[in-house]
Amino acid sequence: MSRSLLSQKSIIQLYTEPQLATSVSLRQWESLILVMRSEQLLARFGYRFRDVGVLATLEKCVQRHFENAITLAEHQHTQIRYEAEKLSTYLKGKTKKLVFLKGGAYVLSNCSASIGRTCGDVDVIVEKSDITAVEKALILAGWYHKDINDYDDQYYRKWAHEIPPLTHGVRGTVLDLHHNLVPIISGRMVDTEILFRYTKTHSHGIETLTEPAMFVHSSIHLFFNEDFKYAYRDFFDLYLLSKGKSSEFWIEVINISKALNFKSEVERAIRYLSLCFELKLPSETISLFDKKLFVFELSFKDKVFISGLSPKHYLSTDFFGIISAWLLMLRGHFLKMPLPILFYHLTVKSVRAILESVLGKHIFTKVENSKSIQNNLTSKRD
Amino acid sequence: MPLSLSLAPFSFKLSTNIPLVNSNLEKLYPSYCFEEQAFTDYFLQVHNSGLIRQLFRKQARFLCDLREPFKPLDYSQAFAMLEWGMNWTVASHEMSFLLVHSAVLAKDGKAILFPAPPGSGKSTITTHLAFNGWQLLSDEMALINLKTGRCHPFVRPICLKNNSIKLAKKWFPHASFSSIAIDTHKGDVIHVSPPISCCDMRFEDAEIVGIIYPQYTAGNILEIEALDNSNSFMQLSNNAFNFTALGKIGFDTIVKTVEKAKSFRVWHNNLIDLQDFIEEEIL
Repeated sequence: MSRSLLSQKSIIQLYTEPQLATSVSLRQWESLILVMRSEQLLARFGYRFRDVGVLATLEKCVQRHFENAITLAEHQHTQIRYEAEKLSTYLKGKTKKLVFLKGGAYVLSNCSASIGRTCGDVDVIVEKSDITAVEKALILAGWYHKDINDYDDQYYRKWAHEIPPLTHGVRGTVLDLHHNLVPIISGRMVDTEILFRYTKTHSHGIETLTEPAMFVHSSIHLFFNEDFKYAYRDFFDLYLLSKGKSSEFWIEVINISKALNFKSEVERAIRYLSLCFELKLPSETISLFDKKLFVFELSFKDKVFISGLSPKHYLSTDFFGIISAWLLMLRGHFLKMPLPILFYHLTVKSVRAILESVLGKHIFTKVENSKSIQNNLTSKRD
Repeated sequence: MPLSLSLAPFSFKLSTNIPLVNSNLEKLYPSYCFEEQAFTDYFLQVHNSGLIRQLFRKQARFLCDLREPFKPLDYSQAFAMLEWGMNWTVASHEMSFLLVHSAVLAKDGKAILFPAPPGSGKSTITTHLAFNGWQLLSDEMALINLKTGRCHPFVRPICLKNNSIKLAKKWFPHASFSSIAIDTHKGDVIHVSPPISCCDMRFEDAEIVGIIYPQYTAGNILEIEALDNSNSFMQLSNNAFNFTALGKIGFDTIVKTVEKAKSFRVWHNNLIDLQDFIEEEIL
């Protein structure tokens, strides 16, 4: 089939004009379902088609794939709510703040971006001074760090904005515990005291960011990053978060982005939402943004970003898509790490990989002694 | 050109560059399976590992679209890997049925489930019954309709392990057997094609009337213990792939299935006695 129906624009159009689904052929559905599944958008489209009454008119075999995805997403949402209730109750009094982020937060706040959103892990942020106490408490409650070598552990703890991921021993849930929105090493850390002004409490004492703050964080996560693997889904998140919002929302978005010093990421989000999703800001807010945001002419940089915000499945992408992903990865790394450290990091990673493959997997593994076993029981490593 | 594999109720397309996979498919699946289908549910690949691994200790990889759920296996196990890969694909995507890790056989539209872990003799029972006039619905996976509670066939080759390979070849010398995959995580493994009559009935669902939890035992005995509903519920839900993902409807389906059917735990050695018991006491 032609690529055209699988392009970034066509799939967006299928979302904004879901009635178009009735004219998609069975052969086209085969490819569309593959691309949507691999972009983690199958459930989201399933809900969309169901809500407007289109799903029931599609062929049974097509319907079944969307319904399967909806069932799986619903189950995941139940799991996220359960996990969040447990964490909020258990960590109460052990940390000053516990705020859920990203996909989990969409689900917990029941905002429009929760529709059909699936996520691999649960993300939370606490104050940096609380992180050791929270980590210890979680380990006592059955969470553990999967095998990770000393270098990676050090990388997380010295340079990153989160500690190595924690996995629950029984339920298998993966938890990313953050103390900032961006890596320390980038020199662009946000002031969490400011960030925590924009939170909202839900039932069971569960806290998330407010919707404007979620929009800001999602923009940072998308554009101050090197990983564009699920960028197309994240782009849809931004669209859903911002669709039909009033001028108060946008004024709050601007204020938060200035306070956190990430205005250009938010502007980028707005530019590409206007270009690709035809997002219309309330007329009174347009003057608050740089006019250049709404220029239709695309620079090379725009083209690279728009390509990065497109499906990555091989049925959908092209050579320029592959080049763009590579350029965006380089850009993201440069943003996050000063050049000498990036060079050091990449050298260590590759030399270690070569040595491990030549000299054996455990060349860097420290010999276990009774003292370290005892440490393991009480502190950081499983 | 990818190969069509219509295995009701699901359809696959397979691309493979391993001749062993093609030859086994042709040997084991009836020709209607390869007919072009209007819609493909899942796109699968079984390929050899690239570069240097083509030269020494060749490996086979399984992919479902872009996902690779397993580590590569030895090249000689490529066909078994495809069979397991198809099971994985269905078990991790399909929510329109309650999927139970179980063999299912039926007679006169009445089905018996045999949910059991490997080593319980499940596949030996399956082979025996399928070649003695029963309808094979599945050797590996029961597809239970969430609305009607009836079991749908998903007819595929039966997977035999270790000692049962020799037995099956002795009992049914005219059946179609795959090449042997030696030394897999389940031991030596072979796939055998069910009688064509089973394939002809691939659209005929059946009412579940019995659930038997088999356990192979040495010594010539047949011991049978009736199981109460709660006990059977626990065991059946433990064997269901998508029980938690389905939530309430999965729970209700298992309750209904258990309440309608008679459940037994059986220690068996003699298949004829076991067959007599089922045909006289349950059907």
